[in-house]
Amino acid sequence: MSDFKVHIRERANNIHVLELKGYLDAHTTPTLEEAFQKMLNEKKFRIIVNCREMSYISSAGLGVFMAFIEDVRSGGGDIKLSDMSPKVFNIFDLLGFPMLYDIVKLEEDAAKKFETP
Amino acid sequence: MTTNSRTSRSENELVALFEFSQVVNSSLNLSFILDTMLLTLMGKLLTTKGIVLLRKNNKIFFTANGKGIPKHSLNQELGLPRVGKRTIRVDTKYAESLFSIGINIMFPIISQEHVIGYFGVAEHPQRKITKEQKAFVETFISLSATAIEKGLSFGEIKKINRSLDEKIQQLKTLFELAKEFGGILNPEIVVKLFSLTLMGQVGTNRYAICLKEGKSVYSKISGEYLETDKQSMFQLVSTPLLVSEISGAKKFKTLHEHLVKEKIAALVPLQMQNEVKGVLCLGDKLRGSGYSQSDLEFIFSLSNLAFVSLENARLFNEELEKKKMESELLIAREIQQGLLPRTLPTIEGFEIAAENISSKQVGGDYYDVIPTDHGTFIVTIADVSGKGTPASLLMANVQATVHALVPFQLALSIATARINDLIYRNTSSDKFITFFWGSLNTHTKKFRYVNAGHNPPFVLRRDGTIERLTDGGLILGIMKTVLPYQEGSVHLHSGDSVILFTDGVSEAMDTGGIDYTEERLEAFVTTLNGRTASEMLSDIKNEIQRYSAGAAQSDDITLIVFKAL
Repeated sequence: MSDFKVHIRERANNIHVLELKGYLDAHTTPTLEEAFQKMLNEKKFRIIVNCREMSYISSAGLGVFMAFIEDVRSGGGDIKLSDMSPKVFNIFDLLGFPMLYDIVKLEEDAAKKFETP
Repeated sequence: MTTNSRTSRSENELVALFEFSQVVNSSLNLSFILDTMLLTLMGKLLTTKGIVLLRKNNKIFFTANGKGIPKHSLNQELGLPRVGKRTIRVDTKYAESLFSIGINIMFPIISQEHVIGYFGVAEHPQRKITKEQKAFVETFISLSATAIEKGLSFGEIKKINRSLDEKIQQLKTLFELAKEFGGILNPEIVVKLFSLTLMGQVGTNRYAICLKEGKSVYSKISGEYLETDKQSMFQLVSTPLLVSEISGAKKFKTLHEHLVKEKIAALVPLQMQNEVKGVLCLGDKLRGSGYSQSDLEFIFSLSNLAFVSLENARLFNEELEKKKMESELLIAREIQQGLLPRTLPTIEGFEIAAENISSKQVGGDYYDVIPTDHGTFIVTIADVSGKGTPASLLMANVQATVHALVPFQLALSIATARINDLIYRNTSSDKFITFFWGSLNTHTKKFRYVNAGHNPPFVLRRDGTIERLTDGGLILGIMKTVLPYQEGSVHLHSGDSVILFTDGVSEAMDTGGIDYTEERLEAFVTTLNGRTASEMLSDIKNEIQRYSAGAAQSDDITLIVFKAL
């Protein structure tokens, strides 16, 4: 059984960080969906997804980002991604995600981008 | 110019060539190679405009790099009328688009005897390119040619690698989903996972799954237009295709209009055993350009994987439902069999035989032979409406009531009214019971009975004549007893028989669906004179089986025969 966890942390300026840990595949996507849904329900639209401890992401996992991005942006916020390993970034890159999302090196860079859009 | 300065200049040139060749050949980055080459040559020729054309195929070139020229002229395809190994003068007749941005002379880039491109510059009218300069440029270019080729193939390999990575990623996804789908039997979860993967991998969140049979699924597509066009859509789609491909087809004009209205960009068939059972309609891609062939192939595999899984889920649930029904029927049959007497009592001065053949659906027939304390026997036969568990439960009610009432020695007509009221109060009005019971006195050989809507039993006299036992009243359970039930009675002499049956006998069907009928049964019964009770029972059974040979038994069959010795 693959293991995947989401930890939610609050930063200054009403930014929330989702720390993803483990293997995000078809099996574990509901966990991430729940986390995003929780953010939407609580009207927390400034989201940074920190991928430092994420070891793999499947297409279904990528689909979760697509599923929520419109709602988050129409709520006036954004989903920004940070701290990806080269392996994980390669998957995002292959499927053209850099066109639609801010993908930055460090969480700090993402936070700065929220301050100066 | 002195000899000395000339020598030192050619030395300088040699050094420059050597350095350039080292720098350029150690790099695999094409744009760096071209940048270095352009800048060096432009410096050497003192020109402000330079361009590199690389050959795509035959006479088609593209502008790979340039300095001092408008940006929009870069990365453009361009056809050259003649390709040769000589220096070319560009004018209004030859490569006009280059001439218009100031390029007027081009040197061929030759690698292994083939022209792989051109280096073009703007030659100043007052400062013509000298022979020496030309020689330098040519040497320089021939040194660069290998590096350019290396850079080109490296770029090509990088491209191939990326598309390989893409394929591997797609395969990984398919593999993962095949594994995942195999274990899911809930159609909603299959659709959910499918749509997430579609979004993640391809980047669309608008789609519709139009099914030939069954309910279609829509995600951010209204589907209003699609429903009307299902027919032509199924006609059209046998392989994945882009909606733009059918823009010209007259036959699919309305379909095309509707697809455009719903902003659908591509159609993918959903197949089961090579038959198109559905069509997946896809909205625009949110990332990247339109759907590529590779995208469509992937979606085709993915959606068929999902579709097979959906079908499996459907079949599994059907099977589950069937199993559930079967086990319910098994319970019903057990209840029914438990209520029927396991052995028949011996009745002094009489032979008796009885049998119940339960149908597949369990009909709800009931029979009983109950001895009382006063030398009488209560013979009961009944048929409960409906089938399966509900029928068998109602039958259990009747059985309990009958057994509870027997010891009270009430008159049969009054007891029947009690049973009717009880059943009427406790069931809905669409539940009813045809019911016949009688009390056989072994001393007087009198058989008193009440028939509540049951098929009238036969009395077969010793002389072969037939009477029917019809006295009684309404079927049980339809309404409260208003008119009292009538009691009938018949005196049995030695050799007389009573034959009780349920409609499973008279309504047994042949393969053409035609009932056996009571008339036929009556005619058959008259032939049974002289047979024992159990012989008569098996004769009738055989007759019915002969009649309905090959047809499924649609209802329970119950028979009781008793004969005065």
